[in-house]
Amino acid sequence: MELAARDVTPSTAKLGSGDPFVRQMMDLLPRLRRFARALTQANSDADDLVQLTVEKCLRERAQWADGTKLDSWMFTAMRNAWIDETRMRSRRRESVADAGEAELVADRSVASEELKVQAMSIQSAMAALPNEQRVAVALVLVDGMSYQEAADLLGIPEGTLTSRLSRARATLLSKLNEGRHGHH
Amino acid sequence: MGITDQLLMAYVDGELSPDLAALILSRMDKEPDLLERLEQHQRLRSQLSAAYGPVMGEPLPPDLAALLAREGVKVGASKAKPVRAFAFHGLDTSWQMWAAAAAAAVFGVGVSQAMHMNDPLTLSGGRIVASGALANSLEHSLAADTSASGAKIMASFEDRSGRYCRVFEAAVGGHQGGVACKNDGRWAVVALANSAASEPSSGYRQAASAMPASVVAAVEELQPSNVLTPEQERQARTQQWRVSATAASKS
Repeated sequence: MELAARDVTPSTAKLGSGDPFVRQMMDLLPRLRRFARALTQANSDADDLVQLTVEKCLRERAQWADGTKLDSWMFTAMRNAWIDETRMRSRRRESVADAGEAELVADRSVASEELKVQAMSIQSAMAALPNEQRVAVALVLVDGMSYQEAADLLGIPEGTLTSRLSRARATLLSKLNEGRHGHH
Repeated sequence: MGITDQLLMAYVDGELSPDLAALILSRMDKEPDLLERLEQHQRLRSQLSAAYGPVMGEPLPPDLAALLAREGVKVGASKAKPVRAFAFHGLDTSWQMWAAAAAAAVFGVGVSQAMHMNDPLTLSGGRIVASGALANSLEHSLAADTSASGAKIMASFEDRSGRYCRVFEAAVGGHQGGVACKNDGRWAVVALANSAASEPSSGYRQAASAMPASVVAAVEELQPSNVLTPEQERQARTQQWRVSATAASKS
């Protein structure tokens, strides 16, 4: 059936880039920034990761096959860059979490103190997850991708994805409950 | 056998077929434990969107703005404004609604109460019905309203039994798409799922494809007989979406 969708003007048109690739990338940018925050613990790491990903995708745009969805392509690039970075850091015996500790601050647009505490406990609970589980959470629970999209993007069977999600959820819920009891 | 955690998570993630989702909904008021478990998972999703969502509307870091400026994106002139221009329109609303629910949930007020105060969905006679802002949008917004706060109506149609149904995208706890039909004076939510697209989609095709498959399937199952034109929509609204009134006026 036809859904008579509301006509949303692409907001990026206002930004004036005539390049369709750049325009599409701009549309994706908010999602990419959110994905980066969910993967990393420190906001500065997230910013660096977005920068790196955007640079890389601009440089390698010729390799982007038009049939692939740009979001899968860019999310994959970001995920790979982050996995490489964390491997490099662990080789240097530098804990990713330690590096980020000082900056483990709640978002500045989070309005009240209570909610800052809340956002912070989510971030520290996420820090407790193994990388691959955090990626799964970031794709499905934060970005809202379907199981199939996320599994395709990661090149894993759906069953593997859902078991990662399920283990991640158990950890997150128990960490958050711990935190809550600690506060009272 | 009870509902497994695996099934419940799939439900919360919008991955269940309409049949299985309906099964879960039908068990909800018989198994208080199920509602509690469901709330726990939904709360986790909301907390995650609330923790990571706000960055989507933040000004770009200077390095990134500079890089994009070199690609012809006008971000340099006035720093905050152009960046704001592509912030997701619905984010503010969803954020505020979530913030109220989260504050209530974390600090003292029971989760169930928080759900009833702020949640767009309530249970009524074993059905999930829209309440609050969502019910309000379903009742009053037109598909043409692109600037409306709260739920955005994507399309309205009559199903095979002549009921009015509306496909909506609600800015609540992440972005959920769904279908609701007016039944006995209330908007029964017949399908609900998280939609993948979180930024404004342009035009018809993207908007349709951003709808989760489960919602599209639910729409198909309702066998729409007529997709309302803006005029028909307005008329149905003045009749409060009652079946008999417009069915009579049409023939």
